[in-house]
Amino acid sequence: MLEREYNYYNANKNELLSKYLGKFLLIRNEKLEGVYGSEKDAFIASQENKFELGTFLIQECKLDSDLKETFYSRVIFNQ
Amino acid sequence: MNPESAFIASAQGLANQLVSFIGVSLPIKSAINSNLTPQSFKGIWDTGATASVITKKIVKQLNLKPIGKTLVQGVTGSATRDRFLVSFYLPNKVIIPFVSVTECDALTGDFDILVGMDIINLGDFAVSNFNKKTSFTFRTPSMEEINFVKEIQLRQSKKVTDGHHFYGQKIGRNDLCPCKSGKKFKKCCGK
Repeated sequence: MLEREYNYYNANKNELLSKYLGKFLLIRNEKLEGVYGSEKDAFIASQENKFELGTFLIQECKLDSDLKETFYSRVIFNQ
Repeated sequence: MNPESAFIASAQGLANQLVSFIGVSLPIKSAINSNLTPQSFKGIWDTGATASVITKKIVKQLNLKPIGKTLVQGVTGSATRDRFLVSFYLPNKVIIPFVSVTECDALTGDFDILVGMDIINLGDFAVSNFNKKTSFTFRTPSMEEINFVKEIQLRQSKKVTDGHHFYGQKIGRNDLCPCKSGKKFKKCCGK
């Protein structure tokens, strides 16, 4: 789910980073629907626009190295 | 977030993990799921995690739909996993809305939620082991720095300047001063 939207972000990452660094992007059907200051604002906008959950991606516009979450214990991701 | 709320969780004895039950629900009503009643899951608090994680079991049980992807680095490798927005209901009605959580395959132990530094950083967090009983307490928002060094210094200075007691022992005016100056108490802190 959301592979299409995530691929769109990755394909246009350089351009989006140069324009919207630090913002939250609302992406749906390979289209940038809006740019917001927080994940919460982007989510609320998605619901005001009646976008069905699972059909849109909220992506923080940051370098990959700044987006990576790190877990030193307990969490298993590659089972 | 509620103004000034807190909870305390205590183990029966010394604990080697910090555990609490946490309610999880969607952050707001949606077209496909209007039920915001939280369901309770066992959570572990982990300062070694930069963010919070939920298991596939919660995703399935609450019929959550992803809102994004997260790049994750765990001890078993790195991956890109689905991200969800939920609300956390901590004990004692401490509610944290719009928590961004990442799905994992599993957590070691019988846990379904791992509470990471994203939540801990929202307030003040402390662990104590008084009388061989582990308790941890959390409050939001952050109210002040928890500083045991300052606490001890304050307690000592208060006891010395009380004039007669230091750590529960009575000090005579001709006794050596407990501040270790080598002077008599009456010529030093007891002036």
